[in-house]
Formats: sequence, C-alpha cells, structure tokens
Amino acid sequence: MTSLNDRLLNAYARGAHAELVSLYSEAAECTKDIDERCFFFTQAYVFALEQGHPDKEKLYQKLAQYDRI
Amino acid sequence: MSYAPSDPVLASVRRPVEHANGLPNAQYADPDVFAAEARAVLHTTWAGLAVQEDVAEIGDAKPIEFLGIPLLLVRDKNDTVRVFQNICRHRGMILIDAPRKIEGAIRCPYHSWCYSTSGKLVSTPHVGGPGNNKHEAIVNDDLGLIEVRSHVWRNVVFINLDGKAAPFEEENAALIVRWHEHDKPLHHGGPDSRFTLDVACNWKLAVENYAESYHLPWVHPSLNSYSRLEDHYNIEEPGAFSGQGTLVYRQLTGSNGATFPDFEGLSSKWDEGAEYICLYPNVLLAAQREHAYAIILEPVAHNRTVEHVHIYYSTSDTDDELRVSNTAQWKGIFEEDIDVVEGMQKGRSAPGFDGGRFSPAMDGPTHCFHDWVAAHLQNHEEK
Ligand code: FES
Ligand SMILES: [Fe+2]
Repeated sequence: MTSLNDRLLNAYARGAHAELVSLYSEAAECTKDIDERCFFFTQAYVFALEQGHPDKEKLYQKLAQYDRI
Repeated sequence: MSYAPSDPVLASVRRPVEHANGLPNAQYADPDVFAAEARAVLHTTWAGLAVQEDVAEIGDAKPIEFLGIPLLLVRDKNDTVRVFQNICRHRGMILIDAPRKIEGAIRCPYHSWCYSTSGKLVSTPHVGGPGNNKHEAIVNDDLGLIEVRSHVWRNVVFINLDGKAAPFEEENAALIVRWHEHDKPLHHGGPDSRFTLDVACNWKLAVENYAESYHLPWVHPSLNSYSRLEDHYNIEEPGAFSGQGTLVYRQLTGSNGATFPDFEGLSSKWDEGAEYICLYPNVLLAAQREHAYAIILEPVAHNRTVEHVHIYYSTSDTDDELRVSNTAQWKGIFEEDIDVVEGMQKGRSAPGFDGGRFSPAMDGPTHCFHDWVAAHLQNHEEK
C-alpha cells in the first residue's frame, strides 16, 4: 500500500480536493497527539467546506470537541 | 486632474447645444485624466459590469476586473447575484482567478480562509496556531468579503462603487417608466448571442456614437435603405439617458418567413417603433418588439474599450438559424462603427481640437451626455 503521504501528494497533484477530505481524516485518526489530530482535522475540514462535502459537519464536531473552532 | 466648478472649459460644454463645445481632448487622450474621470463619473453612478447570465447557476463565480479593481461576480446559494471585491480579508490575496463553480465555500488559495457565497467568513484554519482555528482577535463577523452595491435591471448587473448613489430605481426612474411595457422576462439567446468587440477608443466615444442617428446614412448605408434619417427621433433625458428612436423598425425575417415571437402585451406603438438608449454612464440598450440587447462598455484604458454585447428574446425557445443570423446582422452593424469611434479617438490628439461643435438639430443626445459628464466632473471633489 502506498503511504498516506504519497496518496496525499498524489491527490494534491490531481487537484482531487474531495479525496483530501478523507485522506486528512485518515491522517488524523493515525495519531494520538491532540495538536496533530486537530491539525489534520482542520485540513480535512477546510477541503470539506470548499467542496460542500457531506463530512463537513462531522469534522466541525471533531474540532469543536477539542475547542479548536 | 479635476476641474473647479467654475472652470470655463466645462462651462462651455454645459452651454445650450447651439453654442456648446464638446468635452476637451484630455478627457479622451490623457491616462491620468481617464483615472480622475473614472472616479468622478464611473465610481459615483450605477455602472454596468456584467449580465446575470455570466453566473447562470447557483455557485457560479466569475472574476471581473473593472477600472483596475478586482471584483467577483457570484450567484449565491439563495440565487442572488452579488458583487464582491475579489480579495481575501487576511493578506489581500486574489480569491478566484478564473470563472468556476463554487461547490461549497470560496477558499483562499494562500492560507485557506474560507468564505460563503454570500460573503461570510466561515473558516480561519490554524489562525490560533496549528490545529487551532480561532483567535479572540479575529472576529469572523467583522471580516466578511467586501460587498459592492449592485442592482440587476434588464438582466444587466449594475454596480455603484462608492456606495453613495441614490437607489438604482430612483436614479433611473425615467427610463424604467418609459420602457415599462418592456418590463418582461428577457431570455438570453445563449453562446451564439453574445460577442465582444475590442475597440481602440475611449468609452465615451462609444456612448456618443450610439446616441445619435446623424451618422446612420453615412456609416450604415444598409440600414438606411429602410431606416431613413427622417424616420428617427432624438431621445434626451438630461441627467439620465439619451439616444434615438425609430418609427420604421422591421423585424428580422428568415428565408421561410419566420420571425421571433413578440414580447407580450406591447402597445401598437412598438409594432414599428424601437428605441436605442445610452443609459449613463456605460450601458447601451435596445427595446424592440421581439428582441432586445444590452451592450456593456468596459472602460479598459483612456484609449481602449471592450464592448460586451448580449442579445435577448421573449422566450428561451427561438429558431437557431434566425438567432444566428440576427447576431451576425448586429455584429456587422456594430463593426461598421469601429472606424469612426477609433478615428475620433485619434482626432483627440490634435491640439487644435476644441471639443468640436454640435448639430443643434441632430446632436442633442450626444450633447446631453457631455453635459451629464461635465456636471459630474464639476461636482466631484478629489480627495
Ligand atoms: S491571504 Fe487569504 S488566507 Fe491568507
Ligand atoms: Fe452606428
């Protein structure tokens, strides 16, 4: 399996912003560090907002849970 | 450069048409005067920017530069056409660089601050540090996109850049009343019914030329075969608009005798009547029984204007062939005017030209426009 990092770069290269939502969400779930999680959730949330992606509410809640938004 | 209200050059423009001179050369030939005039005449009034079909669907966004100002035309999620300054409230980055559909939010390409299509700031990623999307100093409600006052009439999107003009309906009440019978849904003819002409002249020369019928027999001999000079009348509404009307309008008829369907409910005056009006400052309009058009003059530089032409019908279902030949006919006529407006532009570099004189009988509509421009130059104080 290609590394998450490679898949992220690949999605960026293709301008596939909807895929970035799930890839960054996946990245967030891979770490226990709260700052790091929130960094990745933020990235996912922004692309979800941009795309009108159905995950945007869920991602907002994740960030709200840590009082980051 | 700006003029004192008592400046004799403007006073001579504002004399009665019999004795008036036209606007001085500098208003056409000097780039600094172009910029100052724009602030006095185009920022303070309701200027035409685009047509609503430029953002036909919800979420459509189109960047437009007007007088060097980056603007963004958007159809928001509530189906309202809005105009914003096309800049991010963070570091002033241009938000959108090419027409596209906004699926969700407008994301700034620099640090990804996000705005809704109605201009609200909805996200400020990492603004309080990595993974922290808020900071007490950054109040989203204070940092929405800067909206430009706009109004849609006859499908044209008008803007008032300084925000201080009277409401559009008030400013243009006379034309709204004059054409009330034409207050019908206008259907854009689509991609084959829009074109642009890039012309090497000051925007005002395009207005002046459109306002008068004096040139028709000389510049448009083909029109004149059925539309003689004596069949035209002048239209002058000081302070608002001017143009010309015809009493012998003939519908375009296809080889099979087909015509476009009429706008409903017009009185008989419009059977053979049509009117061509310059709505000051920069929109040229036509009202006819079965089709209409709007020309938005984009003032690019003191000596360059792009004319954006859009043709409208009473229904969205018109004959393809007839529609295409109608576009071709108008394009041909407007192209015939290019030589004269470009020639007048060149003429404004002759130091001996004093603004010229007007035919008291034929040039009233042109003088009406000059008087309006001069009044704005007199009333405007440069800050
Ligand atoms: S300039 Fe737009 S987010 Fe920084
Ligand atoms: Fe003409």
